[in-house]
Amino acid sequence: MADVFFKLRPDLGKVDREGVLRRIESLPGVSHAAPVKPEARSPALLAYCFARIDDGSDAESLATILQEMPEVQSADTPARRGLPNI
Amino acid sequence: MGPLFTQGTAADYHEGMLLVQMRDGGTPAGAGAVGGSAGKASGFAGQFGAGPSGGLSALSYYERAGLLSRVTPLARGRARFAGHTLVAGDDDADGSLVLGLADRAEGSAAATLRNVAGYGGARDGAKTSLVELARDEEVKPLQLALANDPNIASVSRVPIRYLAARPRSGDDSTIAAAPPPAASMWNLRAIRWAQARALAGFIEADNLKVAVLDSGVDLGHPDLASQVRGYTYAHPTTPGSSSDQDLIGHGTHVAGTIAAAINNNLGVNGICHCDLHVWKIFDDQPDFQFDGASGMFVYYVDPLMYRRALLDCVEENVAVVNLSIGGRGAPDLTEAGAFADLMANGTTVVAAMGNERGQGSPTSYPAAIAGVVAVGATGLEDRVTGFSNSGNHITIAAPGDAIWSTLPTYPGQTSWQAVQGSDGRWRQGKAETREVNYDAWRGTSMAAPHVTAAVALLLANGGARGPAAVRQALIAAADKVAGMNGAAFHPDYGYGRLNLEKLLQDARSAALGKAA
Repeated sequence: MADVFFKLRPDLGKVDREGVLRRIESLPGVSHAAPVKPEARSPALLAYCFARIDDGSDAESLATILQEMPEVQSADTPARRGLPNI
Repeated sequence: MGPLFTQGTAADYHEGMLLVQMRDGGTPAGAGAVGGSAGKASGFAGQFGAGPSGGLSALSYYERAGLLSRVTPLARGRARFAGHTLVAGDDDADGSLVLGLADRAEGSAAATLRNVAGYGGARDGAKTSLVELARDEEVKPLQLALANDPNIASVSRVPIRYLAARPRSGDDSTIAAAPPPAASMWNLRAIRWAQARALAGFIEADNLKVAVLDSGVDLGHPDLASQVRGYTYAHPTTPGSSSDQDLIGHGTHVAGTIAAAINNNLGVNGICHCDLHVWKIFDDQPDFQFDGASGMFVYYVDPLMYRRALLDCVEENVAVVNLSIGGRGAPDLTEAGAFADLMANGTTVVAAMGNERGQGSPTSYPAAIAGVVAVGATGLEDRVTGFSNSGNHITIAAPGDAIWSTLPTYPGQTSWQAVQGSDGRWRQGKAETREVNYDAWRGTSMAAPHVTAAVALLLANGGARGPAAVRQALIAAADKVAGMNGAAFHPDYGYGRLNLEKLLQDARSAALGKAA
């Protein structure tokens, strides 16, 4: 299980946004696609989305597919963050 | 190199001893007694889980395995377990209670604990027993098992107390087994905390929303219970979730440095009272990390919980965010975008520089994101510590060595050893356990919250809001320490070491000047 994070164009309306997310969710290997903060009041915050992929699916490939979608502003796999070690 | 947390725990404890306090009443003796006896003693605690009396079952197992030396109630006159038998106390002179207890299938040791559960009225000490084990290495697994037992109010190791003139014997010899008197905390002295709070017209940061995005927080900690106003650890609308437990303890430590209750005759002093909200951004499942030769299971930030918390902070108009996390990978556009939104909103983001000085101070994010206040760590002699990353993006330094603060009241672990099975697969081995209640830790993770709390106080005392203004105020008020060799900026210290008194003085002077 891994997540790909992407940002939709902020000018997309609610209907368009939901349509794009449904399309992404129907891609092979994608189990879920949604805004990071679905109850956000601001359209700018609703533009932050993620797609969860099944085990064995390739996150980098999905990021490439999303980057090519006109409604998507950017798409990446996240850099790993942890607690600083000594 | 192991994680940060294994190194700051130089506290000394009596070997093989635990203090166990029963809850008032507890489960009646004999109820829910005794699980199976299979399994090795070490590392078996998980077998007993958090069942109705899993901890007492674990104790019974230790008794049958001959690993238990004594169980002695602190209350005088109660029956005790010693030399594999139950010995009558003065209050059990006719021996009937002893026989009744010893007859239980759960064994004598657990019965001894149960016997004190309803004893002593309001005095917690009367419900406490000293458990002595034959081997010190069995203490941690038993402690974990007992702590999960709902019949048990608390379980802790027994700290050794020294005369004040304890001789130096090594690098960590100055670290005692319990927090020093709150008034003498070296880190607070270094930033002139008491002098800052004594300034005429000092205003507390009660109305400033401060966010800690970390491993969670123990809301039940007596030094934090009244200080944390919000805790987010799970999201019903997003997949996956996390428990409310701060297993690692890191977030509870950071939160305590910022906002532990002040002068409450307990533990440590935090730096301010503020509107503290904690977001847990780690899930409870450690990930396998392999360095080419050996492996371990460590906790990483959950990317979704992390981004979700950042966006929450944008929407909730948080004044200052503490991020004692790091990573070498440059931010993706969604992480970078969330930081840009935060800063555009006027939020100050404070982050730890990282602790990889020994590996050449690789650039660590989010500290290196433009506009973030990046914090390095100084030690007791006001010099950069041996672990604090150096770099041109550093803003300021703050105390980050031997920092006493709060830890969860329940046991937990910072990582797990990895053991390779005969099938070649790696599995979780022994846990790297942490202390409970309080401990002294070191790291830039511990330095960052000093600055976060200082920013909250700065804003409460008239400082201008906004990352650029806050950064400028921190820079102007920082002390140029000796290690900077007279330079205005040094990649080890940034613009100097935090001086809270001067920071607030400057802010108040500027506010008064503006009013005039």
